[in-house]
Amino acid sequence: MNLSRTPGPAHKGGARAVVGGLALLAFIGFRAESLPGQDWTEFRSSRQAHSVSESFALEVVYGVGHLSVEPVEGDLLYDVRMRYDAEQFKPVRQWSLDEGRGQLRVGLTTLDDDGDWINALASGDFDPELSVDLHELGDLDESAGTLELKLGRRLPVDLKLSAGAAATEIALGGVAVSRFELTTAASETELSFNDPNPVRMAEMVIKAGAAEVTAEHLGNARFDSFDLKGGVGDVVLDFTGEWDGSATGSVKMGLGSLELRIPAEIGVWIQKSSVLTSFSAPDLEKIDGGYRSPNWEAAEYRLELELKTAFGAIEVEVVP
Amino acid sequence: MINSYEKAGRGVYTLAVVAVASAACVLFSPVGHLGTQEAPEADAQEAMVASVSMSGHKAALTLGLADGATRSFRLEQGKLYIDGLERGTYEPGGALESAWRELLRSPAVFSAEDLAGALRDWSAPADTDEAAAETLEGALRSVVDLAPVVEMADPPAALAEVSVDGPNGGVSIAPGRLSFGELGEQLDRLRAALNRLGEDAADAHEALALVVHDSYSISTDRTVEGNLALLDGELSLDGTVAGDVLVLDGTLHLMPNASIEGDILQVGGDVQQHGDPRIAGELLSIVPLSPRSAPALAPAPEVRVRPVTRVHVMDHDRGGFFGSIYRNFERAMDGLGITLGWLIGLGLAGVGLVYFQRSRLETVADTARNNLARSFAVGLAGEVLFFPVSLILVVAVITWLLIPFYAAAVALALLGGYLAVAHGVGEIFAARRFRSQLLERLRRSNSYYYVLSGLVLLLTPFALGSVLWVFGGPLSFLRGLTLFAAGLVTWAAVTLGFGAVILTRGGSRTEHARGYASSVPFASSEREDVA
Repeated sequence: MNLSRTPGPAHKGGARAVVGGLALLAFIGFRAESLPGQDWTEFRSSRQAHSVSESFALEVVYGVGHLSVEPVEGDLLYDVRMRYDAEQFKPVRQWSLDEGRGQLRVGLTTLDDDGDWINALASGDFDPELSVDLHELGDLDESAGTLELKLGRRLPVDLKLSAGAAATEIALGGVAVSRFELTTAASETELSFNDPNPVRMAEMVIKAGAAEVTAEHLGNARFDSFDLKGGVGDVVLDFTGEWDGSATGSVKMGLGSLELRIPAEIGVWIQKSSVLTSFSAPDLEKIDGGYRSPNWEAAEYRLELELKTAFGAIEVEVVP
Repeated sequence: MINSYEKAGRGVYTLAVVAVASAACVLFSPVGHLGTQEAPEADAQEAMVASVSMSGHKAALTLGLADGATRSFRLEQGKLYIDGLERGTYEPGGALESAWRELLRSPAVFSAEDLAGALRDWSAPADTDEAAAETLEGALRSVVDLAPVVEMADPPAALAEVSVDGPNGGVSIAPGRLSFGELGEQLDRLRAALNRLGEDAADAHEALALVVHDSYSISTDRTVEGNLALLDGELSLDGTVAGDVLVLDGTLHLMPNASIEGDILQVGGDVQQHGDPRIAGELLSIVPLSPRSAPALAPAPEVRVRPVTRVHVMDHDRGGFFGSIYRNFERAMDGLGITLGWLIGLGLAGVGLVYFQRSRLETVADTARNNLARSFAVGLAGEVLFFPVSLILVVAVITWLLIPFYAAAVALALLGGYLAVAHGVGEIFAARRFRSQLLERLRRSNSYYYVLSGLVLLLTPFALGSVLWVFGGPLSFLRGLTLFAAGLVTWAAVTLGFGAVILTRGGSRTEHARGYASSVPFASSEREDVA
């Protein structure tokens, strides 16, 4: 098990490797699920904020179970707890601190086909072609574990979450998030920013495989750019919140429905290209091949969105 | 003694254990007894002191009373003990034990102001282990009501701490009275458990400055110059630890003034923070959960990985053509999969039939084609008569043995007839001339091809009906119509084939197959050869 406190090698795997790894984790997790006997164990790692002075980067890789993220009051930098079956999984954690910049990578590793423990964080060389049988994964609830992550509000965090077959609830209201990336393979994801982000978020990236994603109050996230890539599933993007700057966004989806909720005070311009997709935007006017809100010219803050979808339905709703 | 431990290969840490334990043997005889806190001599008539001891199978509270007496209350392995006497039973891990452990973990037990109130107010959950709960509650209240409570004494730190020389410098043991055997065992457990936290953590036990094995407190003005290990009991830490804190068992209470310059490495027990203690490093723990507590601590979530269209995403009023397209796509794929499965299954049966009984199959197929109406009528009659004949076989009793054979014969006739019709359909298909070069190239003239192509044609309506699931909504009627037509065609083919099988007595009589030569696209000899 790699619980080294020294800095690990840079993660070289790309998005495909991450998704493949998650799929592998989920796949193996499913197979192991049917094994008799469970050894439930709780892993916890927490650190107070004073140990880091400059910045904090956190990466979580979690395969199967229930993943939750929420803010925490007090002097904590982070507090992560994992409940898992030690017969099948092992916790993996890497912490490094370099000139006030802290970096934590945490997650679970599991057995490969040869019975060896896979270091999910260190190798990143999974076969990206492996896929998950979604129908079979539906039976995982009996043995799924949990990962609870609590984030302090004092230091901006570069947050990267990768979830496999997991039910994911992410509440980041009031947390200073400088960058956010979420990769989810086959999951049900709820993301919310109930309070404004104290800092500007340079980028928000969501990659969803066969997933159902609901993101609420994204206006509070205060991102400069937004990028969502979805495979199969239903996606709800609620851009309400306290905007403090204009932003651009891109949404690419394969199959499924997409619902966009745009606050009335924000000017929005949507460029759409699709194959077999219905599009409903009664509050927008069609102009120059795109769809624009009537207040585009006068709006203080603007959101430019590029939508690319193959099959499904797009619905845009302007909310007061 | 030291040599025997060395021979046992326990390593460096065992040496420290033995050295410490030997000193303890000298200083605190008799050994072999885990120490408990005693009532202080000062203010003996007014004070009450609580001592808590907990392990996986035991949760005990000892009260030192104002008159110098002690009262003990213990839940251990399903039995309630009061003052050492068994007074009842309870369900291990049940609600009573959970509530009792919660009480013993609460800070109120270690607070002079809150102790009496906490004991008086404590009540066991209703409807579980009622007799034991009532006995325990009554005993606690009787003690509290009789014993006035004043400030909690803080004797352990002053009473029992032993400093000895270990392999890495001085090591202190607190509260002191512990058999060296048990101390060595627990330190070995600690060393083994620390390995679970990684290589760096595994070394933490080598720089111990203080080992705490029972309830103890470290005051604000004290600094432990090195690592501290809590093996069991309640440790109230309000001072400074210049190294790491290792928790094997028991409960570590981090009080507001506590300051830890290293990490907290927890491999068991519990860590509770009160106020804002300072931890320079990390709180890192791996703790096994009992089967009972695991679901209670974190209920297994419901993971629904199959995306489901939500109402708020696309409500029915605004349904839309593709409103539930994912689900529809899934249904379509399911339908296509089922159709493909039937095609493969029937195809294998057809291939087998051609291989072993091609002549009979062709006879039945020709009969179905050339005596279509008659075959259909006979097949319909056969289907209608199936149940009356079955009834007769049942009623006659003596014919019961025939029922399986009758059922099997009918099933084989239905299957064979359907395959024969598929053969005939394939033959008709092969007789057509296509403008498409591709279809012409695909055209073959043997019975295997006839059967397989005929099955494809007969099952195509089912596939079409399945594909129509994709479009859902307005096309549901068309989908239903297609599937109904597919079922009708299948029934007609089965009936036709069944009749042809009956007419030809399973393909053995050819007189009803006449007329074949005039319609077949290939010469009879060619048909035989290519097959």
